[in-house]
Amino acid sequence: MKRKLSSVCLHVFLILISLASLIPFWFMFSMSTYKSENIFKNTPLLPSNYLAENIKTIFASNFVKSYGNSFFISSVSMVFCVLVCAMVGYAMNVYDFRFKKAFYTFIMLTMMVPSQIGVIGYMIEMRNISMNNTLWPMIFIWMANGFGAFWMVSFIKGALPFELVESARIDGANEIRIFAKIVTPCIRPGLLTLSLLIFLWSWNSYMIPLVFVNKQDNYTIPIFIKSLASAYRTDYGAQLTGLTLATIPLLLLFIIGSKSFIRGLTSGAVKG
Amino acid sequence: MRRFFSIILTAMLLVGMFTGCGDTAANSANSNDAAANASAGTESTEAGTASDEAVTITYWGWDSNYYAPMFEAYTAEHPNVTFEPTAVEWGDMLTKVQQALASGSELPTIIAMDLTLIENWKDMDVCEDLTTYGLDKSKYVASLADMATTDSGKVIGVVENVCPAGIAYKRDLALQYLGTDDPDELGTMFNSYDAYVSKGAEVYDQSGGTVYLFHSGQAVAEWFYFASDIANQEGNTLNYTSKMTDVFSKLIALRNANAVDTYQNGTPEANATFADDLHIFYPCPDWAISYYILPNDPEGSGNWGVIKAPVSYAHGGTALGITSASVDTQKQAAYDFITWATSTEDGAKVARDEAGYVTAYTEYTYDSSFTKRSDEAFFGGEDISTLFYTDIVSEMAIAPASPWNISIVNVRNDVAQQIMDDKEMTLEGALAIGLDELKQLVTDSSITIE
Amino acid sequence: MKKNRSIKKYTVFWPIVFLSPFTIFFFAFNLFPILYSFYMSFLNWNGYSEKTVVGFDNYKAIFTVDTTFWKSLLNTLRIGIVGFPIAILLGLFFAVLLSNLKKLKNLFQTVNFLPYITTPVAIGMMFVFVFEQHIGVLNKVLTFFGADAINFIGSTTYAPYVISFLIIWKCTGYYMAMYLAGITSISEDLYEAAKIDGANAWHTFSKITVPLLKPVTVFLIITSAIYALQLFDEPNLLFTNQSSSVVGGPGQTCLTLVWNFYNQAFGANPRMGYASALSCVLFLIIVIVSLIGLRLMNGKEKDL
Repeated sequence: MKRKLSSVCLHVFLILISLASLIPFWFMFSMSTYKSENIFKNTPLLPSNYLAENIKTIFASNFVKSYGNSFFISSVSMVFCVLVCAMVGYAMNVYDFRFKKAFYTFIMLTMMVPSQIGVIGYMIEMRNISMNNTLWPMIFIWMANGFGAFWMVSFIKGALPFELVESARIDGANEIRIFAKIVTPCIRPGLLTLSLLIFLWSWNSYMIPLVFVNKQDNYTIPIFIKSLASAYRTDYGAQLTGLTLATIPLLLLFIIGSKSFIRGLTSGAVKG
Repeated sequence: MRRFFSIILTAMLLVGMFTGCGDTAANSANSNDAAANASAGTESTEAGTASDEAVTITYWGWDSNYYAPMFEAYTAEHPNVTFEPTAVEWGDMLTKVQQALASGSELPTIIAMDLTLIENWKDMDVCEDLTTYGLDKSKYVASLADMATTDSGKVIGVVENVCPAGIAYKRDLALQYLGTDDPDELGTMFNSYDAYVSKGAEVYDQSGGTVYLFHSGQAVAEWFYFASDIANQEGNTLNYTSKMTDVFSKLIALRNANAVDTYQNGTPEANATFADDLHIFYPCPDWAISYYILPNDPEGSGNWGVIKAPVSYAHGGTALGITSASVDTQKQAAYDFITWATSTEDGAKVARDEAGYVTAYTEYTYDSSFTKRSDEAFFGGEDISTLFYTDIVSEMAIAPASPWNISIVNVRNDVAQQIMDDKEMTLEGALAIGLDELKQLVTDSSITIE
Repeated sequence: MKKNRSIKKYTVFWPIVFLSPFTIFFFAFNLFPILYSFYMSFLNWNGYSEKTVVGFDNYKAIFTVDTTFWKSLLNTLRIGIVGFPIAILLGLFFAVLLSNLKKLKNLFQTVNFLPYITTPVAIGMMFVFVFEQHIGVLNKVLTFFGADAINFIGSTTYAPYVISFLIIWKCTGYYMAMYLAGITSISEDLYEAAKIDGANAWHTFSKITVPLLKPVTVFLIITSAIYALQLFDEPNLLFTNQSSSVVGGPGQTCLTLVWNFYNQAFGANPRMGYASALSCVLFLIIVIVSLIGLRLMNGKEKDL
């Protein structure tokens, strides 16, 4: 009986905590169904009827284009980053080479190098290779991600049986083939987890686009939403509608992928 | 489940690649077109004919209440001209252009330059001298045109509007708390700053502590700042203390009388107060009618009025300039548009009727039959046109700009908010905080701050 | 072991193939910009006029006349020290609670992870809606209970803690997921053994769970320290959504290191050279913090 009671208490507590996480989302959604002028008149607990109008406003502006840009940036960054990091993880676990220890320290350091404070140099660099008016500066910055490399090294260490690689070598497969056909399936949960994180981080990235986006054609979602505030009348309702629409893909990805994501975290994790 | 997820991920990736690539292809096609147009355009100008070639003019600015109707009207008359405006926040304009210069990104053809920041625009030296296109500066209001002229005589922009400012009020609240909604009577009642202080305390008490004269300390500080005729900078000296003593002491007096609420100016929640029944007065330049009042109180027609401030003043003003970065056809087309918007009857009428802006082209500015606004019904039929463009324009003075204006404005906004937040803050305390901040912001060691 | 050709293949050729993309990209897009910033830190340049070489003047200025830099360092520390430890502790606490659940574990985990995936732009707007004095939900609750409304966002006293709270709200779910992953990988046998020995819940927690989660904790501390030192998005987005916005929030109490850097580089009176010097100092600070972290992680390194 006592056990049951404490279990009920635990559940109630966790539900309350979860509500704290969810309430702002609810407000975001609920406010996105209001006309801007009406949002502040009362506390918008329940949805109103203005969602369609707000969506119309959003779609009449640069939303679709910005959405496409964000999608492109995040997808390409994700693919490159995960591939590059998985290669590092593979090499660090199956090969023995001279500067391995030094390289491991190097990876740890890369994880700690803050890329956004190099933004002035990065800007000049991009100018010199004529990339400034493109989306690529927002992608390049993700290509060598220290966290990703560190993550893949420790994940592969736990998930890849070395015998598998050895027997494949005996069968005469070359390294690229082993990596693509044998190792990749083994480490899929880790790849998925990292993919989700990189997609998330680049989708939400703010400072780099703030510096590099100078025209409407290149807007990413965060910059687009900010720009809605610069019209002479802050269209709060439309802004929130935009945010709701921008959050949906991430929400879906994480809800659909939550099992894989958690499995990835668990089996790779940062184990001792 | 895993399979399903990976399929979704792959599909997303493909879509992403697809749209991305499609976009890039489309973009490059566009820019090729633009280049082709540009070269075609150049040839025709060289041939000395007026160009009917398609030309695209890019524009950066924050005031879509002005540029959207202007572009629409101009494109209707000149179908070969396409405008591509990018909305940039007021506070981000300088930053965006500086970033573009440093990173080598494209600048727009036309930029909107707030007169407050005009010295920074002069320093940046990105604008064409408009006199080379045949601009006759003397036809514009001299004080404004001079602000957009560099020491060497380059005219970097055409001022799109004169900005006489008064105090707008809500008629129903004025009637309820002040006993009258008649602009003349209110004008007499509020003929001094002290009157605002004493009436503010009365209204607050009478309403049981719910109704304020003003909604935001920052808005009030902005008013006093523009109404003060002390120049921010003289030679290498910033007149911080004298100017801000003027501003902060008045704000503190109003705060102590509970005449000002604590909203932060320009936030969505502050803008929502235009439609509430708790705040009576708003400092109101003529452009604020289409920028703030109409969009935030669309159902308020007939409920608004305007009176003169104790000291008539001007607030704001925007100059349109042409950057050197564009090709000649674009620049010429941009110049044609700017002169159309400011100095032709057609353009000036669109500005007057659609945006509520009165051009700084003297032929129209000082013509009382021209400056008749079309939105007087919104003000209960009050003759705000005469008020703004005859009474206030003739009295108002404009303080010259300093390249450190944005820092001063930043400090003003910050300290005004702190004054409102900390009811104990004294004038000395406020000045000291502001001075500390300003010293850090003004990084040029040759400048002294008084 | 004989050093034949096939070994060499695995000790030189393939490692280079697999490691070079990362190394090249890192040098090209992450390290080079910082080195270039180092070069720029000896210049006086506003981004568009002529560059002039000023030697160490920028660095001298940082350490002598620039009080804003030190203020921003203090602000960052204050926001971080209040925010991150609480988020990490809460993350651990919830992870332990959740690990006892049989059902609904995934659901709770996913729901609490959601704040982490939200765009900072959205968080900025939603928090205004919670903490603002007049329309904020929190103040509506306060006034309902008869208290005075507090201007959390406009006040120099509360504003930094709003940022701290924002961090807690955002990161707790992420830390929880990390800890939960760690807990799941602790062997059940240990807990069974503890049970047989009659250990109570607190003992199990303090003697088994916490020590075995040390690598996770160290990892989270290091990454959150780096995150804290780079704080920019959240304060910037919370305080620049209005025409009268002030750089650094009310009284500059939310001006973080990176915001200060950004403002020096791209503000109204830009000083790219000076900002580069700031970024180099910041880089040094982060490297020092990281090296301390590396030492903490040393045990991990030895395993490899």
